[in-house]
Amino acid sequence: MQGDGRRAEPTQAGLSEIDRLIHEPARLAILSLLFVIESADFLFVMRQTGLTRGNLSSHVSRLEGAGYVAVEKQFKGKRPHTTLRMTSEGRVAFREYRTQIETLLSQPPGNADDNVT
Amino acid sequence: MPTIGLAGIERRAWLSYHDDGLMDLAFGVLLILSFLGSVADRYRYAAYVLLLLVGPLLALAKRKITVPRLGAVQFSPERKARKRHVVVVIAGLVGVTAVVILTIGDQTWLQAHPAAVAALIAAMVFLAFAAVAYWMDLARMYVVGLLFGSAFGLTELMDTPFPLLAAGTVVALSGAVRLARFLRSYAPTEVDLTDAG
Repeated sequence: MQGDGRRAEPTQAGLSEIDRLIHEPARLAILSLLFVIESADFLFVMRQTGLTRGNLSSHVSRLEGAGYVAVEKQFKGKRPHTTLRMTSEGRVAFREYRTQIETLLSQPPGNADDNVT
Repeated sequence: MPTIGLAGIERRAWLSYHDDGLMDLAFGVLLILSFLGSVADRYRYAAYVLLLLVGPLLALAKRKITVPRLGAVQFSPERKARKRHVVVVIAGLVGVTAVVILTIGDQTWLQAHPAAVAALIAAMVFLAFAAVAYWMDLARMYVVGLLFGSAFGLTELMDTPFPLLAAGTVVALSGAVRLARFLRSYAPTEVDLTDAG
């Protein structure tokens, strides 16, 4: 999204501007879930996305590193409990990603939809 | 190829959190306790005390059964606002019912028109569940509301509490089946990032 509110017009070159951190399917699933809720613990995100524990852990670490997801660790009794929440920076990046993808895929030329090989 | 948008993702998360059958089980038990309160002279008050405990027990069961298996989640403010709608509508229904009864105010009229009283009670009870079904996005609560409304209406009309027992048993059993399915689908897990491999 450009600063004046107009939609970006991704070209072939524009494809490279798509946020690859979000574009990866597992991370996209995590961010899509966190975008529509307030927060969830690690187990809930694991159940909803269908990712394995290790897989989810590594993706969350990357998203946390990028500042897209806030990870809050607490203790419930003697057990560690991790809560995940999308940061405002993550929300901005996710909205921008949605805009780019929608724009990119919205207008095929001519009869491209009918081309079946 | 299945496709699901962001709204679908949110709805699926919401429904899975409420697919443990605990709410249905609690509503079924409410009806059964209402029946017991009506027929058990000696233990009537025990049944009514248990009625008051159903809500707290449901919250406890959610924490002890659902959360360890499915995880904990805070839904969006929109979802929370919808819950508040339900509370307002139910409070409104209780208020309207009270006003109607106080306006009529005549016991003899009420006794002379049992069908009208039964229909009013059934409608109010159904509307309360319809509010839950609509604003909490839980379609099966329409059916529970029909059973509840019919049970209270028929109890008033036929002057017997057995409709409460019948409807309560159906609702509780459907909740138990849902709970069994939930327990089979989700084993309790104590995972955390700290012990992830």
